Amino acid sequence: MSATPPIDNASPHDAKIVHVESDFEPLMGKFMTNRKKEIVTMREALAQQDLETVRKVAHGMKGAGGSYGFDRITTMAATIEHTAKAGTSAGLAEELDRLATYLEHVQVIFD
Amino acid sequence: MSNTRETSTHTVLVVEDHEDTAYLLRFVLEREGFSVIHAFDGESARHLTMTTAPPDLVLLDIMLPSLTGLELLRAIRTTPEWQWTPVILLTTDSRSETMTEAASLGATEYILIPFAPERVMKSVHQFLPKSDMPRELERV
Repeated sequence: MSATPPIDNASPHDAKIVHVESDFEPLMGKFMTNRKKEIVTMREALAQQDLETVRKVAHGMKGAGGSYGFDRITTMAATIEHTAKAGTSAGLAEELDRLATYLEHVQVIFD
Repeated sequence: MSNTRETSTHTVLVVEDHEDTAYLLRFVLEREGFSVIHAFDGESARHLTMTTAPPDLVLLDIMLPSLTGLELLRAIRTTPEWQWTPVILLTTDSRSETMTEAASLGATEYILIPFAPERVMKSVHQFLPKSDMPRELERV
């Protein structure tokens, strides 16, 4: 684990408060834990230049994010998927940092 | 959890390889009383078509490991006991050629991922077989 604290380079326009139907509260812990695991998986894959794994994981996250109410996760995962699919690692580490920062800071309000 | 939701005794087969997406679908179906069968990949689901009675409806992700959703849809439509089962496709692929192929293979409905759970449930209720109507008539 890096000793350097994560840099919040997310846009000030990023939606960091997400409203979710209260029925879904029991699902949120697992959802967030799995997204953070996927960040680790993608970072490890990127370190090995395994862009296909990055693409696959990002694709799944793109679908799950918005379905759970996190449209911003879908948007960021789509960017990562698109970049990995293009076969370039340029900018991917920064995109993963940005997504990780979002996951750390997002606040969920159950309505 | 709301106590005003309608309940059902119908069975839905969810074919979805993404763990959390499958979990969400199971959750919204079960809270309305549906029985849920889950297959993680296309081959497992195809095995079900050969060994079990059909469910009342199938929710099918197009992008699956081992056998694509469209290949599974073709298998469903060529299995006599399953051929009239409503199949709602879930996909991130909005290309018109994919939609056309899905329609030609007999897809009942096509929902884009990410989806709103209430949107999925609306279609599930819309396309569930009516108990007093033969299945082959419901698709017409």
